[in-house]
Amino acid sequence: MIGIEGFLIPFLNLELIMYIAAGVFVGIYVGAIPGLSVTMAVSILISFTFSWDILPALAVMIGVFVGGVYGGSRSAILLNIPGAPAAVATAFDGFPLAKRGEAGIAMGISTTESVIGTFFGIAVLVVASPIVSSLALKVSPRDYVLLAIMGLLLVGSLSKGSMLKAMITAALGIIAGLVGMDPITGQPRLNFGFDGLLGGISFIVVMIGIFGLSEALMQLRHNVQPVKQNVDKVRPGWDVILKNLPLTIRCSLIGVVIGALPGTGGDIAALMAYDHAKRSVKNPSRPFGEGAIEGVIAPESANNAAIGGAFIPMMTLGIPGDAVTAVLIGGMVVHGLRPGPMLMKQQPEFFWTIVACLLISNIFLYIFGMTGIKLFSKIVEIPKAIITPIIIVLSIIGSYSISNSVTDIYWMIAFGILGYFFKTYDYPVAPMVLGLILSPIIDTNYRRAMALSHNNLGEFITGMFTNTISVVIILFIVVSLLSQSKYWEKIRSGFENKFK
Amino acid sequence: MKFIKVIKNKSVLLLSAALITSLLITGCGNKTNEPTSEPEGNYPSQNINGVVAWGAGGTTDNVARRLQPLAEQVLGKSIIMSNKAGGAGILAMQYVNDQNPDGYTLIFNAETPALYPVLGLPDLTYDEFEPIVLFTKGSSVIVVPNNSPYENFDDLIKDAKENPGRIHLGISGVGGQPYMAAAILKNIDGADFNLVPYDGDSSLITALLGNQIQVTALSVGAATQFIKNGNMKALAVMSAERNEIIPEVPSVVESNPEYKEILTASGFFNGVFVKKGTPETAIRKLKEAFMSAFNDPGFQEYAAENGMKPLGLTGEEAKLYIKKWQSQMAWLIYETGDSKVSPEKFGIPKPD
Repeated sequence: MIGIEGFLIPFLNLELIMYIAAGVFVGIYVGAIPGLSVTMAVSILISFTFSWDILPALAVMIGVFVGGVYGGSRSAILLNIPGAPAAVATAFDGFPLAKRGEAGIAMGISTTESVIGTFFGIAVLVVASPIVSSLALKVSPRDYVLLAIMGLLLVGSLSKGSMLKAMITAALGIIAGLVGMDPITGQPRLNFGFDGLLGGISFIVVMIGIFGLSEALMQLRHNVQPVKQNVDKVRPGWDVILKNLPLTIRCSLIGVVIGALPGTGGDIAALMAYDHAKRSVKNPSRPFGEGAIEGVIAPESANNAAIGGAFIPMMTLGIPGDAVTAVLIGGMVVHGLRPGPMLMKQQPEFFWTIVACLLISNIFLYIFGMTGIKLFSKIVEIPKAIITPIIIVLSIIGSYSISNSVTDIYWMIAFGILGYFFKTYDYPVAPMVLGLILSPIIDTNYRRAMALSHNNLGEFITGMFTNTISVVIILFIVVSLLSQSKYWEKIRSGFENKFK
Repeated sequence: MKFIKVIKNKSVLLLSAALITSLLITGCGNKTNEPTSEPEGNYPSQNINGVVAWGAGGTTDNVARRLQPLAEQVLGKSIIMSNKAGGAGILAMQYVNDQNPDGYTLIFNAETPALYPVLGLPDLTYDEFEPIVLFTKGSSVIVVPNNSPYENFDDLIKDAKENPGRIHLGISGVGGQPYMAAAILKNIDGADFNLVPYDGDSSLITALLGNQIQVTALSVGAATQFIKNGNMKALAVMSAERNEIIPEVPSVVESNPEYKEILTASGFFNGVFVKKGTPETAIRKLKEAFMSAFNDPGFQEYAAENGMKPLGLTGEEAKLYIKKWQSQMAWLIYETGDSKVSPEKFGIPKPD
């Protein structure tokens, strides 16, 4: 506990507390608007806080980070448009809750669970940083390929009804993810000679189109009356929180570990946690996909726990755990501080100051998350004639703002129309986003792993069985495949009979 | 009347507020794209767009954002920064090339565009742009994990020659710095490595610390703390002289003097550019602003701390620097066999 005195710095400085509060507040709204990302907000803040001292600058950025990861769930619940990729899974059960008039309850749960998840992430950051970061270092490209294959198995969880339809949209997502410059040789790929496609198709653009615009188009088609929202009781009771605490902790653990891996972030963590909840919760409050609160608890605790996870490699190794910590490191370097082993040795109090900033952010997250829920719930009650145009304009601005490109708006519209047809013919849209997220991970890591095996497939495959982490992931894949088959039940009942 | 009633609804106000905020943040409504016909000497009469061709948090982005507020003080207007990463900087180059050459769109970019033709990428090089200031030059350092059997540069070269194509050397993609370093080692010493592609400095650091790769070349700024902390062993710096922040690490030239010639121009640089055809008055004003930002002691200190060499080149000097760099590196890639077309075809002369 060297340097623990740094922990007290933010608590004793009212100015810093105010900066953190402002950061969390802004973060929630930035996160809630699709297309405005936390990464973008933090990089704008680097210029903005350039002439400030390092501590206030860092305080605002950490506040924005914590608020922003949470904020994405707001729009996911209210409009079925995830504000950020990490909130995709929240929409699965959050939006059905809003359609039942329980948007307030969904937001209350998402706030409480995000706060618990963040806290769990901070706790792991404090207690187990060295262990987690040495684990993160041992995960090789081959293991990322296996993890992504495990991720592909989520397709089943993300869809209701036809598995074939889900696999078709997932495959489309993977193909869309291949467009652009080859990440390794730099050669154009699937761009049909069109230079505008060299940068590839951003998955946030696809997400905004396929969730946001298509939702607006669907509303034009169906004459649904806005649902009156029940906002009498938005704070979830202790019984609900305690009953689901084991699930929250399991999902937070998924969040921390996936967040700490430099190649994966909160988006994948949230989807995996949702999948985990669907498999492990036997009697959800309602069936998953129809407004189960477990379906909100899992992704919300996981994506916020990933924040603490992302800080682990950043503080101990100087390696970013996700896109936001990459920008944060840049921001600290601009101020003359480079996170990593040297900083931990020379200025250990700095680590504790960051922990304290995270903790204070978490307190404000609860305060700001819980206030204004009633007002927000009213958004669901706005008549279609007003809300639909607003959604469309937000989608356009959001897709433009990712890289200030008009081409992205056209892509957003194209995917919006595609999403409309998907929804009309019952093709689930979430697997497409999953495919897009996983596509580059599989692509680069498979080729990396092959290069590490001297481009020898035999060496690549045998390598899988000589490495502990690979073997563990393979076991996970095998078990989750087996548990879907009919033999599984036979084996289980056989075991149960034996021990009776 | 029903409509008016709805408008009074607070949540509609809330959503509209969100809309307006996002419009403001994205900078829609900024009129800089319209053709301007302002009187001479009036530049800048409005805010300027600054496009960073690389992702947030990278070296080019850090340098640009470090200089932007300082340059604003001289210009008296804001520079609105945005990142347009992807396609090795091509997307940003294309975007800026599509704007009016009025001095209201700047591009912050690194050395890569000079190599687009030999790498088989779209032919939009620095020939279409006017350099304002070239800021810094960085060099890389060859590093191995702390438990590596290689104690010095000669050990590495000896092993690579005995086991051609077996030693894993991490690169950040074709044309990136570690790739160029490997090309130089192959060219001068005949050492052949197995190139394993990663995303950039931080993913290479992860791979090296996790013992996935045996050797890589990192930018000095990124590698220093790991060298000083003992997580990595530094074998040699890829520059003609030793680097001031890691003076104990020898230069490759000390092992083999043949490296000297090729290393005078190597390394990576960054700078700010405008499209060709920008009025002379605007270029002059921008030069003044960015040179003053560059000469700021705070920036100089930042560059030194991160192992970068300040360049501060403008005008013809800058163009000459880029030309020389391009000719050496393009021919190097061609001679190692990774580019099938001779650089001569693209009008890149052979270095003398």
